[in-house]
Amino acid sequence: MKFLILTDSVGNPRSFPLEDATELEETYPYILRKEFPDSTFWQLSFGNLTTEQLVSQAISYLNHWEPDIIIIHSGINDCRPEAFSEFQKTVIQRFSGQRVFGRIKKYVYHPSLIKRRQLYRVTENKFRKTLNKVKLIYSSATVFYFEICANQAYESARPGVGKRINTYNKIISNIYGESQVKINELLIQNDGFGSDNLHWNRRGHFAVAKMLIDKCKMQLNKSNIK
Amino acid sequence: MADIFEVDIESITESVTPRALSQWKGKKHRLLIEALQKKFNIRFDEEEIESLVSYKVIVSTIRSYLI
Repeated sequence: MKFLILTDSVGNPRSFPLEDATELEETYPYILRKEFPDSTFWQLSFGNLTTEQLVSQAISYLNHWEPDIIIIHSGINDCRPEAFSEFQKTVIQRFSGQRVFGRIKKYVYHPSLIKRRQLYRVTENKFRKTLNKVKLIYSSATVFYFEICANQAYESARPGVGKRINTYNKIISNIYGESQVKINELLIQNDGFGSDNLHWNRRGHFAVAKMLIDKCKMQLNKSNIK
Repeated sequence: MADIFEVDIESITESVTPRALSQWKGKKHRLLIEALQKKFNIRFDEEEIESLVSYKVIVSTIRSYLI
């Protein structure tokens, strides 16, 4: 069986802050890999990339490799509200220099500014287009698309994020239907969010890995893939 | 595609990639992108352009704009 795993930073190990530290061996992609030792895995996990950027990377590297199962865990960078666009952030960073930017960073991500400006990196239409493209390109694969999630308290850091997450999750659900993997409740039940209310701790990774393994095994039995 | 790469139409199969078609490179890739954008009245994302490296991906990407 061939797995393609595409994730944002949440799929990566994390060493800071210490209370949320998650080793590589504790991340859900690694646990999944261990469960299917005879399978081939290819994982791309990048922080701060939009879904289009992530998917384009995968397609340009591997346009002829046909995975059986694709796990996509991306969308928060597309939908969360920002105070400045990526271009504006780059300009601020260039002109202020790294040291000054370090000091003014808290204003760039200040919740009251975010609340007032409500900028988004990816429009709903563009997000929909990217998801449709993945579906068309990998038409023979089973896609498990994770629901976009964050702890409710993330709202105080990113005012308006809850509403945006709901809208984008509806787009995922419309395109992928039952293949959308609901994980938010599972993470809350297992106290799986880290202290930033977005990334996961080892409990979160473990709970999601367990559920994902079951889903993959079910798919394996259904399609008889080796 | 055949016109831009100056090859027979039979060379443009569903599995064609830059690896299989030596004419598919550099400036001609850019020309192909421009021609497709004009023909279908769409504008590819900058990050998408690098990923348009097979006939199947190109067709799927264009279709995703038209859905």
